[in-house]
Amino acid sequence: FGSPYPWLKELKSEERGLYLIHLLLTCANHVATGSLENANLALDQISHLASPEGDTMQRIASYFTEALADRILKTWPGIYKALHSTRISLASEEILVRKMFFEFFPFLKVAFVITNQAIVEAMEGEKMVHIIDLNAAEPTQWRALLQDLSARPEGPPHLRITGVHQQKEVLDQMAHILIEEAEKLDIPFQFNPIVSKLENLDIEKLRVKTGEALAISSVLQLHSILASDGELQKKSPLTPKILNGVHLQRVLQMNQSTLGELLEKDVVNGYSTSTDSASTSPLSSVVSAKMDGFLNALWGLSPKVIIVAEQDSNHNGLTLMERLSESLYFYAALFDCLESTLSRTSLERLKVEKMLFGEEIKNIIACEGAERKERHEKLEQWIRRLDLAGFANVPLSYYSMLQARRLLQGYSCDGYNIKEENGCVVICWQDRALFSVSAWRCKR
Amino acid sequence: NYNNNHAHMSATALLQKAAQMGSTRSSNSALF
Repeated sequence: FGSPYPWLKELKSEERGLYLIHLLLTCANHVATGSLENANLALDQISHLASPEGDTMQRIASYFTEALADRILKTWPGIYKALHSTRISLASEEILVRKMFFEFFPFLKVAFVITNQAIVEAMEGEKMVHIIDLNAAEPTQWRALLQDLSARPEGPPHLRITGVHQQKEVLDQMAHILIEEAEKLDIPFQFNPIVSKLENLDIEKLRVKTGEALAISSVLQLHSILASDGELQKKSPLTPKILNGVHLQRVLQMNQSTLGELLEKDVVNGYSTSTDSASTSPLSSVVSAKMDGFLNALWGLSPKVIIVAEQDSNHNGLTLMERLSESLYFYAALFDCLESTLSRTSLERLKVEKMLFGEEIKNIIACEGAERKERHEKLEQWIRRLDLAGFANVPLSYYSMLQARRLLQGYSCDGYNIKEENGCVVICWQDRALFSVSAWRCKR
Repeated sequence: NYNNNHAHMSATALLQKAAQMGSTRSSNSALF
C-alpha cells in the first residue's frame, strides 16, 4: 500500500530515529494538552516509520505510540472497554515472559545473588529462619539459598518461606520445586503461599512468629503500592474538558521543537499544560499513605533484614511529559540491551518487548490513579522513604559485591556494569542506571 | 552486531543526540 509520505521511506536509520523521537514528543504533547486531532495526525505519521520488528528506535516507538493511543482511547470508556472485552490473559504466557526476562538480562540474577548473600549474612547462627518473598515469582533464587544454607558450618536452620503472588499457579510451582529441593538437602522446610496482590496483603497472613529470625525480600514490587491517596479516586487520564472538545492552549509550536527543548521546557519547568497535574499537589509523588502504612507494618514485624530491588528510574512523575521522557530513556536502554544479544527476528525478543516492556510502558503512559502500578522511582527516593519508615541501610558486603561483579563478568555481553552508591548497588547498561538493590534493618 | 545495518545507532545514543540538538539550537529552528 502506498504511503502519503514517500520521502519517509528514504530516511536512513539515524535520521529516522531522530525523526521518530521528534514525532513521539510532538504526539505526547498533543495528548497531554488534549489536542487529539493533532495527536492523531502524529500517530499516523509515526505508523509509517515505526515497527516492532525494526531497529531499536522503531521498536520503542511502536510501544510508546500504542501507549499514547491507549491513553487517548481511555477518554471514551465505552469504546475502550469494548475493544478490550474479549481479551484473554494467560498466566502461562506471563510466566514464560518473566522467565525470558530472567534469562536475557542479568538484573534479576544480580538482585538474587545480592539478596541471598545479605540473608545468609544476617541469618548467621540463627536456627529458625523465616523469609517473606513479596514477589514470589522465581524459585531459582530460593533454591540457591537452600543450597547456601545447607552448606553453613553450623548446619542449616529450620526454614520457612512465605511467598506472596497473585497467581496461584506461580506459587504452586514454587512450592513444588522448593519442597523437593529441601528434601534432597535434608533441610526442615515449610512453604506458606499467599495468593494476593501486594496492595491487598493482609499482614496477619504472613504468620510471623516470635523466636524466628525474619528476612523480607521485595524484587521489583514495592513501587506497585506507591499511588498517593489523592490519586486513588481518579480513573480517567483526561479531564472531561477534552471530551467536550475544548482544546487547551497550545503553548509550543510543535513542528519546531526538539527533544532538548521539550525536555527543558516541559520537564524542568513543568511547562506542559498536562491536565493530570492540575488536581494533585507537587508533593504527592513523595507522600503515599499506603506505602507509609505498609512499610510501618513491615517494621512492626521486626525483620533482621529487608532487601529491596527496584527499577532505578523515575517513572512516577505527575505529568505525562515527565513520565514519557524518563521512561523513553529507561526502555531505550533495555531495548538496546536486547539488540546487543538477540537478533531482530527473535520471537522471544519480540515477546519480552511486547508483553513485558510494552505493557509497562502502557501502564506508565496511559494509566492514572490506582490503575497506574509501574511507579518506578530512583534509589534516593527509596532511601529517603525507608529511612523515614525507621529502617537503617545495611551496606552490602565486599563478598556480595564480588559475587555480583563475577556474575556480570561471566555474561556474554560487556555493556553491563555495577556501581556502589551509598552502600547500595546500582546495575547499569553503559552509563545508564537501570536497577538498584539495597538492604535494610530496623533502627533501634 | 547481528544486523547488516552498518550505520546503526543505539536508541540511547539517538536520544542523547536529539537532546543535544535540542539544547544547542535556538528555539525557532526545525529538526530538519
